[in-house]
Amino acid sequence: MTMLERYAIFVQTLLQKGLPMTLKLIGASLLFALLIGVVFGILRSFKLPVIDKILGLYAMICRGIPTIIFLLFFYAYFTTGTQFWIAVLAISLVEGAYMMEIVKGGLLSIDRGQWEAARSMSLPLTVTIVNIILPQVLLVTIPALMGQIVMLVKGTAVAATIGCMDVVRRAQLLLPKYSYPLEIYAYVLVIFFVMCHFLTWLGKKLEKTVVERIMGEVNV
Amino acid sequence: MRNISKKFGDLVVLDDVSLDVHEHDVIVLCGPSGGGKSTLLRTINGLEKINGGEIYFRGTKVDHKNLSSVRKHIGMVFQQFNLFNNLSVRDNLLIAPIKTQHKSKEEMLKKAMEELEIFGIAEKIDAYPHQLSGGQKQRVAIVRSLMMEPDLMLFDEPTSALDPEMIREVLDSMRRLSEMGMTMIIVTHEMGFAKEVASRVCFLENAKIRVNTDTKSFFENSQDERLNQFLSVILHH
Repeated sequence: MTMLERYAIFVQTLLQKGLPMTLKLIGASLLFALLIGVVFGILRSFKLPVIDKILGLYAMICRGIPTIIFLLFFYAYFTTGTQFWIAVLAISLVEGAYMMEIVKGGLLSIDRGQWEAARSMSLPLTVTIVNIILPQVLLVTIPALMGQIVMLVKGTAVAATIGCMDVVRRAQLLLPKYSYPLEIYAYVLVIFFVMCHFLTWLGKKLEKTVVERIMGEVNV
Repeated sequence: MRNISKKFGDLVVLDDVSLDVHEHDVIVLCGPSGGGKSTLLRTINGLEKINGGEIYFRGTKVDHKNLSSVRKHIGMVFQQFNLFNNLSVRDNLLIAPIKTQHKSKEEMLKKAMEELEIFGIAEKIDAYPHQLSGGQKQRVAIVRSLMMEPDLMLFDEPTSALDPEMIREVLDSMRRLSEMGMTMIIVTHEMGFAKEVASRVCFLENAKIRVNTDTKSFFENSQDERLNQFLSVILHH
């Protein structure tokens, strides 16, 4: 391959055509997954009998089956709807389940005594939640959520299976034209690695900021 | 001020229990575990609901409508301290007066420093709970309650989670409080402390108050057999 061809592959096809789709997949899936995670996570923390059982079932199913299976299932089931939204549905449901458990765990890890002390001082509920409970929940859930976000980013790669024109799919389509699969996939690898590593780095920075702002200095 | 309370069965945790508290009283609730002492204490500020009977605070009956405002006059100190972990000592102390009573920050800060000074932990004002020892945490908890200028303070086994060296400093702080005239109800196993500081002592067992009398009679003239059994075990450990 010539350098020009390499440029065409890497920059023009993969980056300029494929990456926007990948980013859209990530963006949409992340939004819905977080929504599901936060809302249902809070709901699960109340431990209401019926709702908790249903959500527990949801968690069990979505964490026990590979995302790609859901993807293929929905693709076969939905006769209308674009591949993009089917992929987003599958990924959000699965990642959302994990995030729900993370949020729930974070909320339940808050010692009951924090609530009792606030109640006994007649602190308004909003003040209690915003100033006392929420910061402590964030402290616990942000590291775990950042990890889950990286998993989500990696998970979007399955969308190529049903034809979404993301980085992975575009790379696959280039293979017949240029017989250097190793090199082409290497570019895909680099793209994902950069994204994930950036997120991990961001996560560590965020964690540090959160800890410092919420707990003063933590003497390790 | 009179805090008359009558509580009936909470399942079978409290069975027709009555207690009168007068201003400046220091009442100690003692007895074997599971006897109902902590539950009784927690019904006073509404952390436990009662199934029967009434609680009166300063002559007015306490119900779910006025519970919120009644709580502002009652302070509570917990066995597990329950300081807000994400807030500094300063913020722990200031959050309630500022957010509920809307007092000025400077005024409250000044008061906070004074109170911390009295209890010997003024230098810790910028520390976080995880940086404090158990005894220090409990003293901060005491000052945190004092910031609201309560009429009554409740203590739920305040020294039970402390190492022996730190129990002394917390008990001394509580003694100082009683000397300042605070009305206190204390659930504790520290009978030596009770003997020296309490004005009345109650013995609770199996959901009932068996003895409720002034300190002298409690320790010296007790007629109740179960109490004598209890005292002989606990005073000689």
